[in-house]
Order: sequence, then C-alpha cells, then structure tokens
Amino acid sequence: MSEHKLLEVDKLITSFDTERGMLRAVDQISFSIPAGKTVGIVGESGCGKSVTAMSIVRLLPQPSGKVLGGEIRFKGEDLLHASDKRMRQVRGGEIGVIFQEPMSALNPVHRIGRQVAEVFRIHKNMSKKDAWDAATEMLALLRIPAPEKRMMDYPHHLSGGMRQRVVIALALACRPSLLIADEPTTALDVTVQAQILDLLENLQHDIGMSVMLITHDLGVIAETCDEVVVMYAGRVVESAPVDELFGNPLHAYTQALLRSIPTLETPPKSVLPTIPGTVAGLGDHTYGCRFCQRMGRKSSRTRERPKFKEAQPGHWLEICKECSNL
Amino acid sequence: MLESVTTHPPSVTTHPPSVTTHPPSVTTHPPSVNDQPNMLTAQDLRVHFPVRTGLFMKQTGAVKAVDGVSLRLGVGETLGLVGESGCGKSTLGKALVRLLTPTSGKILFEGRDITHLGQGALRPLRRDFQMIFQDPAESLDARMSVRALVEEPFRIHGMGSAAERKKWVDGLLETVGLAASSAEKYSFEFSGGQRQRIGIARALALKPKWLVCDEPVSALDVSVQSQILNLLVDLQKEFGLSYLFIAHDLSVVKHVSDRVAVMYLGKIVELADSETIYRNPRHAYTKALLSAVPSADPKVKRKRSCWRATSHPPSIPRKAAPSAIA
Repeated sequence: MSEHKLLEVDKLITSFDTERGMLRAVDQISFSIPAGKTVGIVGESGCGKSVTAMSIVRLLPQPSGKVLGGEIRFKGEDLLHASDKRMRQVRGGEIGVIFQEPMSALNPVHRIGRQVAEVFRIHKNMSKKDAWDAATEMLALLRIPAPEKRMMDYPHHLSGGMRQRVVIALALACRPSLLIADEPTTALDVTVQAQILDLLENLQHDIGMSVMLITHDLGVIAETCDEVVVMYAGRVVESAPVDELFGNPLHAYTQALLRSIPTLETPPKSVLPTIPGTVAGLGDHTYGCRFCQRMGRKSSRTRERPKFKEAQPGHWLEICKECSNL
Repeated sequence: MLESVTTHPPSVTTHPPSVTTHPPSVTTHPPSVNDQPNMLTAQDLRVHFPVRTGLFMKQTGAVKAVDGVSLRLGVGETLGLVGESGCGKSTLGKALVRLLTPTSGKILFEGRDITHLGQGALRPLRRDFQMIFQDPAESLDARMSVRALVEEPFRIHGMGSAAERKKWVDGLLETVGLAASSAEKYSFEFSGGQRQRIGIARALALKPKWLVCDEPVSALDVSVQSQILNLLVDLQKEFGLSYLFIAHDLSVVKHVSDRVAVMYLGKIVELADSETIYRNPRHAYTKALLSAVPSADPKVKRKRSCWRATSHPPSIPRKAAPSAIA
C-alpha cells in the first residue's frame, strides 16, 4: 500500500503445535498502523491480541508457536523473513515492546540502572559511562523522581507504577518508531494509569512514534487511540477510527462489549447486559462466524468464512448476516 | 436465572433465613437505607503495623494502614470502598472480618463488640461474615475438587451429613450459575469468571449476613465482569446480603453501591451516597480520582489536570502533605 503505513499486517496466521494438532490462535488477520498514530487492539482474553503482538516481534513461545502464513511489513521490510540478527536490531531498536507484567519483565537480581543501560550498550554501542548517563536521562524523561538514586535500586524497591515506568523506559530507550504496549496499565491504579497514559501521549508527540496499544479496557481505548481493531477468537471482526467505532459500532460483538461495561451514567444495581458463554477454545473454533458460534446460532456451522470488508470508508467489518448491522 | 431460597442449605446457622425479614430494596437510593438497623459499625478503627529496623529489630515507627476509620454498614446495603493501592482498603476489609486484629478502635457486629474476640470465640461468628477474594486462581486450592472446595466451610463447622452436604453444594453451584457437573472438576479447569463463581459459592455456603468483596472483578474481562456484578446484585436481592465492596474501578463501585467511602492514606476522606459522591465530590482527592477514570466515550476528553503535576502517588509511609492532592 502506501508509505505512510508504518506497519502492515496482512493475512497473518499464527498457530500453536499442541497435542490436538496445529491450532490457529490468529487466523488470517489484517490491519495496519499509520505513522504517528495510536492503534488500539481490543478483545477479551484469549482472542489472540498478545499472540498478534508477539508474532510481529517474533517472540512467540518456542518451539510450539509458528507463523504459518501472511505478511508483516514494517517500513516496507518483511519481518517474517528477516534474519535473527536483524530482528535483534529491530526489537528494542526500532520496535519497543512493553510487556504485560511489569514485575516479570524486569530482572529481579539486577539493578534498575544496569537493566536500562544495557539497552544503550547493546543497541547504541555506548561506553558503560555514556550508557549509564543515557539511562539516567531516560528515567528522568519518564518523570521518575530522583533518577540517580533509582538507578541503584532493585525492581522490588519500586512501586507498581514506578516499575511500569522503568519498563516503558526500556522500551523507549532507542526512540523506536513503533511501540507495542501489551496491557501497559492494567495492573495499575486509575490515577497512576492516567499519569502513564499522559506520559505515553507526550512522549509519542516528542518522538513521533506509532503505538499499538493492546488492552481490554474500552475507556483507555477511547481516550488514547486514533483507530481501533476489535479482535474476537483469533480474527479481526471490526476496525475503524475511534469516534466511528464508539459512535457507530456495526458488529454485534463490538456492540456487546460496549454495552457490558458499567459507566458512571449506568443506573445503579441495574442488570448489565452480558455476553453469554466464553470465547471458544482454540480447538473448538468453527470456520464460519465465531461470534455466531458463541451465541449458539446455526449459521456458524457453514463452511464459509465471513468476508472482511470495508463497509463504510475506513470502517472494516466482518460481514455476517446475523452479527453485522448494516 | 437464580435458584430460589430452597436450594440453599437449610438454616442450621444461628440466624433465621433473612430473605423475608429484609425485603430487597428495588429503588436505587431508598432513604430508608440509612434508617435500617446497622449490621456492622466500626468506631475510630486503627490498624498499625510496626516498622522494625536494626540488629535488635527495635520498633522505629509504624505504618498506619488504617488510621481512625469510622463507618457503618446497614442491613442489605452495599458500601463501596475506593482508593489507590496501598491506601489501606484491603487492610480495613480484613480487620472488619477480623482476619487482622485492630490496634485500637471498636468493631460492633449486630451490636456485639468483636474487636478483641479470640479465634475460638470468633469461629461461630465466621458464619455470618465471609470474604470474596480478588484472584480466584490463587485463592482456590488447585488440589481440591470444586465439591471439596465448596463443601469445606460445612465440614469446618461440622454441619450436616455427607448426603446433606452434597445436596447443599449442588444447590450452591446452581445459585451461582455453575453446572452441577462442574462439582467433580478442579478449579484450574475453569475460566476466570467461573472460578470467581466458585469463590462466591464458597463465601455463600454458610449463609453469611455480610460479605467483604475485595476487588472481586478486577481480574476479569469486561464481559465476564458484568456477569459477576449481575450475580452479586441478584444474590443481594435474594438473600438480603450486605456488602463491603472494595474496588479501584469507580464505575464498577458506583454501579453496585448504595453509599461510597473514599479512602486515602488510611483515612476515609469522603463518605456519601453514591449518586452524591459522583455528582458532587467535595474532597479534592475524590475529584482527582474521578477525573482519572477513562471514559468509554472518545468525545469526552479527560480533565485530569490535578494529577498531572504529582509525579508519584503518596504512599502511607511516605505520607504526603495534604497540599499534594489539592
């Protein structure tokens, strides 16, 4: 397509080798991330959000996870066929990743300073001293108080919010052009979440990067994203600019998700609309519409996969007779 | 959707079936709630943890986790408790069900002082107050079948014959919306939402009068979250339960609560009925907390100026000056 797409994912298929055979966690999904924009990926647990992210940076669990098909183009470069050496440059260099759990993303036996400086040592070939200074500066940029002191701390010395900032510092150290943030604020308090989101937004403007934000919090999506991709059971069911998606959701799954969250305006103790059942396990996916499968509709048993089409300009939708409201 | 009272274990406990005595209030803000008899009263409750340092572990200070809290919980009422991590919410919850012994102050349960009761004297009272924990994956023993888990409270309290207990467990599982066949499975075979249902079944087993729900939905997906919230509201109506509902998600708290207490640094800074507190927050901290909630409407732009300035939320040991929140 065009040059302003920083990342393009085209018909990506990611499978896991299990006792029950090769199971598709991500089933031919396509989306793109424009330069400088924030794209939110939303869906319930087990919809393939994190697997998609891990496929992009080729960090799937080995040896079971495999990308079986499709293309991932980052600045026009085919990441699926890049050498391991090249991938190591891309990861942490051009694509920063914030992993889900800030506690387990940091090494508990090394000081914060060493862990942040390491990124500069590896990617920028800096001397020890320069890397240390750059790391201190990075912590300061993330508004961590007394960065010189924090550099000497171990991860367990820091609060959840501070740890998450360190993880963000690691991801942003090399000023990547794409940041993949997997549930960056899920474990945090609302006030800390607000600070982290503000920080990300400001840094995004300063560095001019794109952000792929994976979350199940629709409030966070509404506030920070330019475009939204809704995933269900390994497929993209809808994608649209944020105002369009929230104002005019066309897929039944998106509508159900939006309805099920209580807001400050919901009448107290009223019955919240729910989505019956759960996301089908990997082995039980049908070929037809998977949301129909969850709702127990017969139409899900067809051999025909619903088409993913541009229903309205910029608004993509999986077309299913039952689930899409056109 | 919910089973009637008859499926519940016959009342061998000291209290009569509460359903008839406390008809559930249908209106959202009955003024009568405040006139209803108190289930629980806490007066100037303090829980301090000693800080010991040095070779001889001399006490050098105290973490004032709960510092002078007074509140009351009416019959059939939900009191929401919000605040950041580390503000003392969970400690307060644990102290009220006497999993912790308060440093000073008084806890009155149905007029009886339970502040300093020993474990033996507390045991019969434990039937009346139970706790629902945040992470059902960690609070359920993976080596026990669901039947054994739900049956455990009956066994501990020496209630019923084996056959009776089996009938009660089946009834409880039905009440919380789990299939009878799930009794022979293990907790790890279930999804997060179903596990939380097991936790709720356990808590309900002894027909408690009031429950501490400590972040019962924060580990769950939005679609499942709404199912659990509906269940809690239904159970309250059916059995006339009182809840102390601890959560950091303000929309969730507002949805389930009659009154809301906002906690900050071990103290309750504001307490009012939920409508009032959200419409007209008085305390600067409540305002800050509310402004940090992301709205699931992209058109509403957040106004969280008050928290932008502070780089870190004050924790109890650090104890910020009151001006930090203004």
